[in-house]
Amino acid sequence: MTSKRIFCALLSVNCTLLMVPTQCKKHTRDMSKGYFIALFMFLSIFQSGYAQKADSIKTQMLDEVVVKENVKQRQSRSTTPLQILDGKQLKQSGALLVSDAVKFLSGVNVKDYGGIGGLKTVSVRSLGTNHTAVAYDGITLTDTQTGQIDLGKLSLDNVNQISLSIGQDDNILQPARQFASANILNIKSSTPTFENKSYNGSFSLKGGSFGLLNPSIFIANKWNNKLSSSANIDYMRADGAYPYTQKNGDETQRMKRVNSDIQTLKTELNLYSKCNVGEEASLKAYYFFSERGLPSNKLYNPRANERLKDQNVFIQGYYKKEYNKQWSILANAKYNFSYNKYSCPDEAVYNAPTENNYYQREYYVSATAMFRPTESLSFALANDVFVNNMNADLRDFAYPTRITALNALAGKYVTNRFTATANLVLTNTKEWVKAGLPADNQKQLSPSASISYQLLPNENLRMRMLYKKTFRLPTFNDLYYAQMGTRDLKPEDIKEYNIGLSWTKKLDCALSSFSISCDGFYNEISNKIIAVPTLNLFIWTMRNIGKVNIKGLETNASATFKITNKISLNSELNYAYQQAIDKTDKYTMPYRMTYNHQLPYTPSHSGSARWALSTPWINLSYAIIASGSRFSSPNNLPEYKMAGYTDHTLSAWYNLKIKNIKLNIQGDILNLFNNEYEVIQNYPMPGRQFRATIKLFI
Amino acid sequence: MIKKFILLATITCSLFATSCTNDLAEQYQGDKPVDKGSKGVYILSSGKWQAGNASLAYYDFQQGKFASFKDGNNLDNYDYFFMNNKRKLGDNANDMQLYGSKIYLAVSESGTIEVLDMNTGKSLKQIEMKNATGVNRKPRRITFYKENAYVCCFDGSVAKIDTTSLTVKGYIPVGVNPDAICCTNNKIYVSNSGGYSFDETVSVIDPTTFTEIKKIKVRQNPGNLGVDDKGNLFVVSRAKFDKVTGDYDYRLHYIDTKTDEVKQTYNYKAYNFVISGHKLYMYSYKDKVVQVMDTYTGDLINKNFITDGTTLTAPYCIAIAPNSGDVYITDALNYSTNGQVLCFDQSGKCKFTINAGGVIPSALLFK
Repeated sequence: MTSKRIFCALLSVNCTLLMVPTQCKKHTRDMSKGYFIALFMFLSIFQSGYAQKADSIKTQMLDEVVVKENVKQRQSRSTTPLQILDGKQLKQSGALLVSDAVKFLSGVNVKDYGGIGGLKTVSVRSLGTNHTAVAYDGITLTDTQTGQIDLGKLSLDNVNQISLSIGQDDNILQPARQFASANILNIKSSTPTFENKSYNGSFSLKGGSFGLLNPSIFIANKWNNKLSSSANIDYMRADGAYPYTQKNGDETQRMKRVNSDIQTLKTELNLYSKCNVGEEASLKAYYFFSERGLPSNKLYNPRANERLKDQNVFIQGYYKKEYNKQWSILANAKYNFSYNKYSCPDEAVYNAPTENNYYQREYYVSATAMFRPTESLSFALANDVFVNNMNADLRDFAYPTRITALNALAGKYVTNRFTATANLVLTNTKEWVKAGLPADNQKQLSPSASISYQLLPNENLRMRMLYKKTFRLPTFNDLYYAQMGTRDLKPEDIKEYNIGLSWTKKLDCALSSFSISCDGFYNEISNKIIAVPTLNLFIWTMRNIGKVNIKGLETNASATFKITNKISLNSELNYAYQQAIDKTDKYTMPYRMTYNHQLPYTPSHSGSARWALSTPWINLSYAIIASGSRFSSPNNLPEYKMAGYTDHTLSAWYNLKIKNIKLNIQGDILNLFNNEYEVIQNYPMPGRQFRATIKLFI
Repeated sequence: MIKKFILLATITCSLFATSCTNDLAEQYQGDKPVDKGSKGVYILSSGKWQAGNASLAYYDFQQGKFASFKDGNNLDNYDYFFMNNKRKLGDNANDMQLYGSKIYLAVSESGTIEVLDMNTGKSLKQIEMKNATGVNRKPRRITFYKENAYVCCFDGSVAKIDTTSLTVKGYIPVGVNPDAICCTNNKIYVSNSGGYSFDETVSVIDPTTFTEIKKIKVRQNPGNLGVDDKGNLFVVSRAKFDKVTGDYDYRLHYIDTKTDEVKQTYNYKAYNFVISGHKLYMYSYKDKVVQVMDTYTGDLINKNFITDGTTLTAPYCIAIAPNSGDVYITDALNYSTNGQVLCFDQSGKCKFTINAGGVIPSALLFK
């Protein structure tokens, strides 16, 4: 009964959307009304689902080994390249922030302006920051103003897993947004586990070089068999005044980074509910505050006084239910508010000091239904609607509002040796502005298909292939920013192709298990939105003229050696080769100089390695990040070549138990060899740093 | 089985890791430049903002090549400033002017004025342009009057620098974000562009008392200033950038320096201009057309100066070689690659194009 109702509602939603006339503006109002009625119908079905009979369930405790085994299996079976860093690996990396951890993933290029406070954005396989969706506990984080998520804002405390999917995850019961980007970085916070207690908690204190202090508290409560909650507060501060050497011809000067201090406060409240068998819900409230300086390194002018203040509040929740073997649903909702304030008191000489305030809001609802007619075949239909608006105290600001509707139809076929997934995402947008003209409404179809096949029946050797066509919408800055925005921008298009092999094996010798994967990829970016000059350096305009072809190769290898029963060594190696070539019109003068040149800040060779030794007494890990040379300019002249670098981290930790209290002590030495390097020209990275963490579990 | 894997892996590898790019040979090398009127030309490049790569190049017309040296990696380096001073010029170099045998360079984001000995290329002094609390004043343009240099700074001030002792004698406030400065009829004129707040005045400074004596109201967003051979002053006002037309709404104002009042306003697209004698060479922002006006009559004497079909991408600076009368235009291209310098003869034909040797060529000076 219920399933039929879901299906009808889904159909009606989809039909209404598919029938939207793009050209005919007269109908748009009617369409949105119809659309909302349909969505309402759809959402109301979930309400009825709640009324079902309660049936308690015993909490299943998953052994860590089992979880790890599942992770490995998921990675090997995935039709799309999937890299996962679990809680233990995150600990081994000595990373403080999410951005530090993702540097260990292959094919990922983190644009790091240095220090804890410096901006850190991620570009996967040279596609650019805006093409990687970042999801926190199942719902994407968004910034419609810049399209960039600063991963430096996310601390690793309380993060249990980070995974990066090229294309999308194989799980088709997910919101439409998760299908709609070129790559997706999933960050999962730890859900509390209760053994024989009804509470659970930890306190951690981290301290380190350059004034780092980071206390955090985590408390979890199990209220009854169905309901549990957790709360965490995390405060962090750092001066970031690290020394660096500035080379200027024959002169080398020892400098100290100024205006690099940061303070952040993060609090999170979670409510988890396992209502009945196959039914769960969760609610999260999140608050983040940060105040930091924006360092700069102008030659002969060391002063830097620009400040940035961020505030972010969101409330998100999901509800998931498996009605029977055939039908399951997932509903998500989120409200997000973010505020940024940029200020620079230094302009105040005879002129007024600069201060800009930016406000963004998002309202998001999503509903997905999955139908499994047979064991191996499943379909899902996901519908998302979100509204974004922005407000800023800029002169002649446009005050844009965008409503986006995403409909994704996904199918999946799984047998023991074969997995195939395919999906089609329909995107519809409508935009309003208070001043000037709004951007064109967009209607786009993005298909994707991927397969994985086990080549030999008794060997976990799999081949995978992926094709995905997707795009990114122009950001509010691209469209409306002061004199710079261009309102008739088209979306930036992406085509991704991937072919790869993965092989995992468990053995009965010292080498207890290993896995190897190798992927070759080809990406094409067209209509790339790039800034082109207008008046002077401060005022640019956005155009859809860029074209980039990217060829690359990624290999990941990991092995576990069992030295004795209690001592094991885990080793991981990642390497990526990327050729990201500018193919923008060679017949126009400026691009003649960059035609066939490698994109700036894109190393051809990059990699990482990690070794972790586990003993009953102490755990040791050693990690390396390496990057080959790259250019700071789109024009690959020798003078713009930046040297390659390596960054080494040594970590050691020790667990001990005093009565009922578990204690974990960790020490890290980062940039062990005090290597001086820059990721972004003129933004030096910190040298050797020490860090100590003490964590107490009750 | 392992063999199979290796085979497959090799195939995948070879499929994707093919040719590597090294098309540096494709880089623009330039024609054979000749300018009989000058010994050489200095090309100042602003560099990318906050990248610390402002540079100075010197092209020697007699030798037909750039002054260069081998850097630490045995590569040719064309930075004339670095060559002679073994240090970098700084961040965002805006202007270059000659007084006596000294070259003055305004380095905006570094907050410095570099004074070079023209004969050796060595920096005689790096003058700090910061206020009492250490805030950069952002020096932008330079002019001279009776042994003193006057520098307009983007913080809204004008500095007076003694050209013998090379010390700052003082600052006076003018308008918001001064963009250009020049000297005529024993007075200093400063255009107050206003940045985003759109000032609309030209400040008049009496250099003997070093005080602002008047603010001439012109129009929104005044920009470049120029003086013709009769001492008449011209200033462009660009108003606001119009997103619909994709261009500015320019006016060219003629200011009588006796009365310090706007005498005439012309509707010419003078985004940037330079005056040689009584010929005013200007170019527009959107269509990059170079036009010539007679400053005596205000008539347009050439509606399209470039006759050989040469196109400009992002003209940034225009200058006239003093002896040959050749018109030099720098092109910043996409503002992130090395720019170009184009030389046109009086008939509007492109004589040669050379690599500017730096990013965003912002000023030219003939030796």
